[in-house]
Amino acid sequence: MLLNTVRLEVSKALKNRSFYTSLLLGCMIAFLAFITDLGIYRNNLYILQADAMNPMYASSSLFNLWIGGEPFSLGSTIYFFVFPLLVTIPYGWSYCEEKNSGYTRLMLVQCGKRNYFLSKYIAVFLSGALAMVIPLLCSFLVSALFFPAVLPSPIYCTTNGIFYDSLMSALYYTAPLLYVCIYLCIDFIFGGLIACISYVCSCFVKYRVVTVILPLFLLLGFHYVRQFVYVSPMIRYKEISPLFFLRPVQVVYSASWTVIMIEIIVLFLVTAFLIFLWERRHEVY
Amino acid sequence: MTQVKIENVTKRIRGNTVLESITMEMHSGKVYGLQGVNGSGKTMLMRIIVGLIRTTKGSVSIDGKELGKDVDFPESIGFLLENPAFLGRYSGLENLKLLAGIKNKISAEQIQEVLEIVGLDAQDKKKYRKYSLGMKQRLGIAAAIMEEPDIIILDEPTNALDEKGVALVKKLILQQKKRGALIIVSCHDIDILQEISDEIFKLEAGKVTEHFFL
Repeated sequence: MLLNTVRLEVSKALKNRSFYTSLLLGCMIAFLAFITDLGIYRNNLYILQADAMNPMYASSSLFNLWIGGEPFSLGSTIYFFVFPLLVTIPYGWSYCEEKNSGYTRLMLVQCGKRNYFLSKYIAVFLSGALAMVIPLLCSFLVSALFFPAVLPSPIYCTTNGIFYDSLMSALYYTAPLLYVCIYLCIDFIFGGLIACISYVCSCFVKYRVVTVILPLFLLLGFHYVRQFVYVSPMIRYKEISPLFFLRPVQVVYSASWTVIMIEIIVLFLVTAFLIFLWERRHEVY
Repeated sequence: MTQVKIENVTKRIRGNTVLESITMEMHSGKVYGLQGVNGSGKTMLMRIIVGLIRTTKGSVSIDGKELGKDVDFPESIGFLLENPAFLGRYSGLENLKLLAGIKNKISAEQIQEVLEIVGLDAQDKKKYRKYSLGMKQRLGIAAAIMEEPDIIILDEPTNALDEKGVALVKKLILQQKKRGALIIVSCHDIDILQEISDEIFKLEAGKVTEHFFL
């Protein structure tokens, strides 16, 4: 019965207008970034065409001209600022809607409490994760049609935004495609978990819009705390804000596996525990 | 043979006693009517039998299994509580298919049959959110009976229905009773309740004040 419920919830999550809207918005933002990147590449073409053996050939490559590879385009800035909204729009609000309408009664009795809440967690996670990654993937694939996948050179580390102490910097300069894939996986997991924050919020609040925007404000709050942590200009801190470290290009401070893993574990445990607590104690009127 | 045993059930919500020392015993193949004014506790009692709400005191057992202890919800139950609630973006048929897909007990053809029985067009592509109140009520009844459950709970099933609809509901309840289901119905219209019920419990301020056999 769990499998059937998961199938049902996932189908509800992925076959709905909100999911498509979120994807469309994400892809539009990605396209905006692509337009800027295309302009940059066109300007660079003059340099590149000057000489086939031009040493600057590696300065413009696919890996620093897609939405996740550059930090300066408007599209990239918007995307990595509003992604908490993009991941909650698809299905994070669904429990709130079902609770308010009374549909949860039917579902709970039909499939059981645990199955229902677990299935919804999986569906919300998947919808958020896909809403986060699909526009990034589209951006990468469209950019790949136009820009050469030249192996990035550490000489242009300032252009690439990947420095000696950046997360997986060696991988970036040796197997950049693998680097992108691993980063997309990290974004996939965080997209899903941030959508699950919205699911948790929907247990406690009545309004759908609140459940959608609350994760963004939580992340902004966390981002604000950052300034009290990074007090010394002399220390190379590790990035703690997901608004920054989810960018494959590491903007200010380097990302770190320790921080990423801790945040994944904390987010998962907190969201799962709160849903479990809600499942145990909540009565459906 | 299904048996619902309600023993000394009391429910308090934020200090208010909504139900007090309710004791009832119900058996399959019978229709039990709950009569009472608004706020008398009919719906709350039904929610408790469905398993959606826990009792403050006392217990509800279905075939010897205590709700909230041995099982969360009765194994085979269909219900319509207050207003029917479905997903607005799907049609009636799609909504029922989604729900039926969880237990996989009935086929798509059977779902279509149930829709026709309650007077809805199974081929109608209209979204649920565009349904009239009467159509929503009919869909709610269809969802309650579609899997032929052992226990059927109908809270004001004749709400928003025209005369034909009311007659249909009465007919359906008697059909389900004949099949051997245990049916609990609440209704403001005492005539309808007397017509279909084998026993009626009258509730007043959360207490059973009268119990008739018909």
